[in-house]
Amino acid sequence: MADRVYGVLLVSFSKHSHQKSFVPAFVDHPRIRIVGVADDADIDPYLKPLNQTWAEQLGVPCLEGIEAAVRRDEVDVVSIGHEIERRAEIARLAARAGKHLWIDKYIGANMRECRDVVEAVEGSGVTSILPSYVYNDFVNQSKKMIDAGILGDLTAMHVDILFGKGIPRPITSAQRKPGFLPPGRWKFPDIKRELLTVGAYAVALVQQCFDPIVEVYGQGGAYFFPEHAAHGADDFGTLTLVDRSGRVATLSAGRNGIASHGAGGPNLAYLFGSKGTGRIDGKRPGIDTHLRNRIVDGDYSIDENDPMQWHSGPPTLLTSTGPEFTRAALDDLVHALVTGARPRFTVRDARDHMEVLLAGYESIVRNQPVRLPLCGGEAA
Amino acid sequence: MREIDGLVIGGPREFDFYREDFEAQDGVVFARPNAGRSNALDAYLPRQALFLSPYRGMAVDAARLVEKGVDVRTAGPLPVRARNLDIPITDIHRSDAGFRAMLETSRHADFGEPVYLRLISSPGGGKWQKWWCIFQSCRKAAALLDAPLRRVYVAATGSARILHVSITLKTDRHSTGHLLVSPTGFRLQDDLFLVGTGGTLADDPLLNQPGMYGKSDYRMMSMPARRCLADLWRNEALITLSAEELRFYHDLLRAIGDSSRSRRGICLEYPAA
Repeated sequence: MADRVYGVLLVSFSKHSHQKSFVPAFVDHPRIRIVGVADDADIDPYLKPLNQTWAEQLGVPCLEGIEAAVRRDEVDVVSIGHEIERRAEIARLAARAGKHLWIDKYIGANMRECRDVVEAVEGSGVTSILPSYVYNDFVNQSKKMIDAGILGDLTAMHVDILFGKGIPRPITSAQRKPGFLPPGRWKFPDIKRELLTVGAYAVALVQQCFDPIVEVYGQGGAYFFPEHAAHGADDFGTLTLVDRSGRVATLSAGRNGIASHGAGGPNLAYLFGSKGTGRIDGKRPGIDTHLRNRIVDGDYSIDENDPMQWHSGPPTLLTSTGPEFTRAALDDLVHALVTGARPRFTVRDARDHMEVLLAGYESIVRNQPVRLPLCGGEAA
Repeated sequence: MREIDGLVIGGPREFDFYREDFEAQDGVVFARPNAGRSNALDAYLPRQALFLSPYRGMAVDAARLVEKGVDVRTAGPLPVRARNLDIPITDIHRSDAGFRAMLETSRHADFGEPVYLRLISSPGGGKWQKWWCIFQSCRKAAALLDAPLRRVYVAATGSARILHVSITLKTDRHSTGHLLVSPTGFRLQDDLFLVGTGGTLADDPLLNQPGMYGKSDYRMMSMPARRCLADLWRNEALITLSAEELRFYHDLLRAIGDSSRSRRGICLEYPAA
């Protein structure tokens, strides 16, 4: 009997998601078939034509009305690439319809939504996966070093992840909005909150290496971009996490501007153990690429329609040769669907992951450490 | 008792920092804090003495030298308060050509405003040695971030030789930093990453120390010397700490132990100038 092929419905190509970057892996995978693109009617004006273009390119129908589209028989898996504020609702309705879930980065905008999604998914027995965090070489190399035992007991970690994108500019006092914007508002036309967007990768790495986090201390308020300063919202931030065993992780994350780093931004982890300190460069293995023409004639101009470079990469001097993570995640999903095994990062992991990030924001606002689990407050 | 120019007391890391000075200058003697320490103090009468690493009994030894008229300096505050003993502190990174180059570059307009500093060190030793390392890192952070510290969050784990300390700091200008003191990695000498609005600066020991591929591994060798002992005697290297600042650093020492025991972080405010 031929292996079963699973139908994937792509729910939205929001510019705040990675749906676009998942497509090549879906197209290439022998057990996956894209069966449609779907979205609701009440979406941002730019999104409707974008969804239609993708549907045409993929040769699949573009369906209006997510709930009805999800219920279609040919849909086995729903790939959610909508705005963060809509993800929980879509995940819940898909789970209730018995459809498996492939979700980009976050399952909800606050803890209540995240808890509801976990309840819906676990109650319906569908399989869920968040592909973006643990299938990359950065996490794999770190885990391998820890599991090999050469570090002794892991006591602490540090992670630096910066995206060398966008053009920072001087910020005047008048441009700087006083105070720090509390968690809860994530969607803006011109910025992303970068502790959430970039810090999420570092937090996921810590989650993979540590026991559950019990204390979070966050810092923000230093800016690279006037756009972020005007909103009082983070383009950069730091977190310090303490786990149940007293281990300490520190991380820096954000968007710090084009041409600020040879590899397009550092992706570094330090693993401190009782026997040694490990150092993992997530951008390597790679090829140092110093090609005169590319450097001298390098185009550092930025598309005015994508000023923060959400959909383009910076020119770099390093050609990474690590594996592509989406394919590994897709293999894990298919394996889970066939065997009933649990994928490496499910909605339950995503709920805990979001709790750490929200606690970080709360800590910045309150200017003091926050204990987990979160209870009360807007973020909870 | 032999008269010499200088007596330097420190650990293996400090010897490594200044080894070319010790090898080149006959009048300068290096001694380890515990092994043979008393011998060194009995055997030599230095014109100047420098304590680069703290140890139990250091205040007594320093007082003996002061009584003999020796010009004594330390690379950090005394861990225990000693009455009538006010020993000048020297800013150890002022002797580091790497630090000076980074400071100069960071002050260039192209670097823009400093935003974040990450500094990892591995000084060896126990809590006092790591506390001095943090003191030195705080000084370095304030210089490179070009702003006084405002607040630190201290999170420590482990004890004695496996103590790891993480300091999360904020300055008066909203810039932030992580100062990390690792229990292992002798060659991890001040791994520094400085982020500004105009770009990044990094001092990476992995790249700056020569190494050797052995039969089955890669061995890092000593970093080519870039520190000069004489710089520590210059007046520009002298630090004046206010009573409040001194209290802050003693609170920080206590917070390291408290955090490690309670498995919680502790916030401390840096005294305003």
